[in-house]
Amino acid sequence: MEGHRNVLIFGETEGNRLSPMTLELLGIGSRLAGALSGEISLVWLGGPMADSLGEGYGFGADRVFAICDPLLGSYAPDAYLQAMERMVAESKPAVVLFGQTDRGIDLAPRLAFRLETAVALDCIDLSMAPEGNSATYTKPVFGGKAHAVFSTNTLPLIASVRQGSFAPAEYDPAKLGEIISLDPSLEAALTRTRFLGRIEDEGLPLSAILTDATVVVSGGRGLKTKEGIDLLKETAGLIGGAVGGSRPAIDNGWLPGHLQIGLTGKRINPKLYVAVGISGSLQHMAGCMKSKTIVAINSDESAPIFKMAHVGVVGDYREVLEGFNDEMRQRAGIPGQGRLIDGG
Amino acid sequence: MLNVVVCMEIVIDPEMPFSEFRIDRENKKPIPPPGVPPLFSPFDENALEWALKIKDNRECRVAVLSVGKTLPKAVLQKAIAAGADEAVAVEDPLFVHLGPRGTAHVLARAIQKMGRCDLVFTGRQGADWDGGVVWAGIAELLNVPCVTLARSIDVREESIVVERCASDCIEKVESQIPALVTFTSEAGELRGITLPSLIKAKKREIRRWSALDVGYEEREVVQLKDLFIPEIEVVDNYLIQGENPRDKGRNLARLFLDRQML
Repeated sequence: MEGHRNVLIFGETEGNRLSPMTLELLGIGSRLAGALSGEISLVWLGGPMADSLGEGYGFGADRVFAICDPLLGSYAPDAYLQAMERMVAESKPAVVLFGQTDRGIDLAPRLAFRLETAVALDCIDLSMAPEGNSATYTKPVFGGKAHAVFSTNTLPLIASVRQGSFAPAEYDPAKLGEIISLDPSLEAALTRTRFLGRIEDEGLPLSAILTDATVVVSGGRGLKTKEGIDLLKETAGLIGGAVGGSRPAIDNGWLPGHLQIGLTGKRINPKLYVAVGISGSLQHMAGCMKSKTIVAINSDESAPIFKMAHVGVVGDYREVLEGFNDEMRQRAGIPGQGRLIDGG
Repeated sequence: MLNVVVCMEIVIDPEMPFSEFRIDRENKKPIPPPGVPPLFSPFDENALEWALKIKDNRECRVAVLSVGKTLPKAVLQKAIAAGADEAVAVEDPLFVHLGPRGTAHVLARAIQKMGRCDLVFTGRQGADWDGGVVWAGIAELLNVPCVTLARSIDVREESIVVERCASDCIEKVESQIPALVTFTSEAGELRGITLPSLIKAKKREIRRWSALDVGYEEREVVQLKDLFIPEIEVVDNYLIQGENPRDKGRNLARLFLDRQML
């Protein structure tokens, strides 16, 4: 696919608007299209058409495509893959960008192997040679302990991009355009998996709260027991925060998996992040680094989190949080509730 | 009889503290820390655990498959001690720069060579390069459907139903068999290994194949240009003082309220 100079972006919507991740892809996409002297195509796949796709033009796309088909109503990888193959043929890209989202990390590798081309997930930097014959990208490896830079001459590069790595595109209300509908001619027979439904389990409402929360109180291995979570919840309740955890808190069964914060869990950016009994592994920090203020409570004063936190408290977390909660209640005029934790 | 192949990568211990992590920048590779033995990538252990859970409940044969330049016997034996029926190691000095594409080709060829296979399991991503793409290559090369990020599987007559961990909910997805499934940590940790089972496993042979045995050809399309440890931005840290931890907790609350940080 030599000589292709365009950028293709897999667009996603949230609440009928282009998602913040998609706006970031349009931001980096415009830089890459500039380097390549190419065009940006934004494609959206789904059942019924999303209303707001036209805003893709305002955010810098040269062409906005919608591929609508009942087979694309819920995420079915085989059907999505057929549609994206069709879209690649249509838009002749040098690079195809996905967000590091549920669909992005599932679809990007499949598309790359289907097209027998190069693939990179979780990119934090990305550039194209102006000649349009090679791409260079950087991604965290070894759980974030190191960064690796790769290059490839096999294009198009299929890449997913970590959220927060690039500035979102700016909106220009003067840029308007028609949405181009494409018929993907999907073959139902090629769809080998079937979406049966969602399990509305324990994590769903909590998980949405965690992503949107401005204050998050989070626990890790240092909690030592499941009862520690109750104390965390009490603290979170007093300061209007949501509760989350690092991977050991999930692996130990103290919290449901949806509440994991980190490289393979949620990536959040609250105003205030209180990390309790969390040592600060880079896998975990990848999920909360963008918080405005990070507070660490840990009994081990050599824990790496103290290097990354803005405010540190060295001490047994139970005692620290009990003192904290007492003071909060006192200031708020709430009578003391006694101890939820007996210290054992 | 259900045949399951679990693809397992052997890596440097990912739980190793950051302070001990070193790289050889010239050769663009990590330096294994002395005295810390290599082990299976944790998500691959989650995959093996689920294969063994299936074997607990029905007639099922579980084979473990690893690819690499050198594959320590002791690590492979751990899979047998945990309950796998067989371990196959595709090992060759040629694999020194094996990337995701080459790995997927070697694994797919080896799976074909192993004979009948109903389910292929892997972890969601390797704990070394965090690539997260090899699974897609295996599925595409074997031309089987694939479900990612599983926490559990229900094996039925001619299909599987997978509970899949999406970021905001659990999805139920049905797939035809044969299929490939990737697992995440919510699938559960690999079961404990008893000493007698380990002693027994040590007597078992590991089947070893070379690059030639699986018809390997160099296929990488991506070159590693640099590997470096990024500088951590050390934050100006304000340490809360106090007579004792409880007192520090009170002072933290006062800071939050007085600086209107909430």
